[in-house]
Amino acid sequence: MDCKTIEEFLYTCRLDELDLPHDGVMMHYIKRCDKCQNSYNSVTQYLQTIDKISPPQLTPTHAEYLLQSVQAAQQPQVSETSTSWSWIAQGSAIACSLALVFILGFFAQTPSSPLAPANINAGIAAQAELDASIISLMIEVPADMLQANLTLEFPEQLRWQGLEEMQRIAWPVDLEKGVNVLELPVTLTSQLDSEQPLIITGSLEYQQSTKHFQLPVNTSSLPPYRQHINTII
Amino acid sequence: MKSFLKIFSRKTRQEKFSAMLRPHIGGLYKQAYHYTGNSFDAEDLVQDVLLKTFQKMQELKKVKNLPAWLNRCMYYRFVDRHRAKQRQPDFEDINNPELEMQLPCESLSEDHYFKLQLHRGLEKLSLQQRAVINLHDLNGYSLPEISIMMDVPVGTLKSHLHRGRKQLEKYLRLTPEMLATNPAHGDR
Repeated sequence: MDCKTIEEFLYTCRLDELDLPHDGVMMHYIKRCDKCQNSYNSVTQYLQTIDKISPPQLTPTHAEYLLQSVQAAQQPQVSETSTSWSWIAQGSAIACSLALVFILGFFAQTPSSPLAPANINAGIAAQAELDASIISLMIEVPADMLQANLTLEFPEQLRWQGLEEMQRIAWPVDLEKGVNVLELPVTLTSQLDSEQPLIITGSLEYQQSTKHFQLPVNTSSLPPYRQHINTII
Repeated sequence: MKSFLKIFSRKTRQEKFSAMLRPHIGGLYKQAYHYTGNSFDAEDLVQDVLLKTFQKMQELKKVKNLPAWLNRCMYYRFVDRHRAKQRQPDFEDINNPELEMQLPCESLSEDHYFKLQLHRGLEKLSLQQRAVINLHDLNGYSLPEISIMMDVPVGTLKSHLHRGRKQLEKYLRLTPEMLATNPAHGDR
């Protein structure tokens, strides 16, 4: 045992490791060497002080807020990626289809102003543009709207592909300031009546404000309805 | 149906991410607090790390030791931010501990007093010394673990730890009166 060994030990030890056995070689040496004893006391005092300091605490609410903030910050990138991928993958695959472009006009508002119902109801510019069996909802908002509630009600002959049993669908959407694109695949569930126009009704609810809208669907570009026939082999 | 799922996938991804990171966020915050010395910057740093982590979600699934991976990420983010801050000499930190020093001594609880001492001391250390003290002394990681996190040999870490401790000891010996009246005390 020598001073160098003690020094090496003290350089990196933890508080619990300093509790050396009194009859041990190390403690025996420390007691006899003034230099090592000083180092030992000094390290003990340092580690005890460090140990007294209470660790900073993050409340569960705050932790959740931090986790959720990632979603808000990531929204633009994720949205852009998914949009571009969907156009590449689906645009070429679906030749005869429908797209409905819908713009909610919130242009008059500033991001800092609260969204009053009157403001939301001001100005809706809807436009139909058809080239895929995808409804592209383009929603323009003046400020970030997290967890806005979007509700769509489909006409009798039209359904969300894969959710044919549901006429009314509502789900929370995170909208960011500017134009947001949500793509929904649609399918015909019955033969179209040429006299009757197809209209999707819906609403966007955010905080205490709601905007209702109607989306006329141009049926000329919809893929024809195909009746399912059971074939017998 | 694909598009339908796509709309929800963002949410699912976020949920997966939250579930994966929730158990570690307290530890990350603790580290960030000791790196930065105040809760506001600590939250910023944690948020920064979470963002980077979220962008590497795919990579994250392959990580075997997530806490170590996150600590490594935290360390490098801290270094980046610290360097960026140094390039802004006119930037005034509203959470400047020097301002806190102007508080009357009586208002400092023992815990708060030691925290101030500790963070004033940590600020004077090199980035690597600060990181080793933070991870080893304040968060209980072993030197081999820290060696992996920081890509630094254990021997070098020992040296950083020893020098860092020596430097910090000067600050931890300060009395509240000395701390309030002589902020320069204990500088190298």
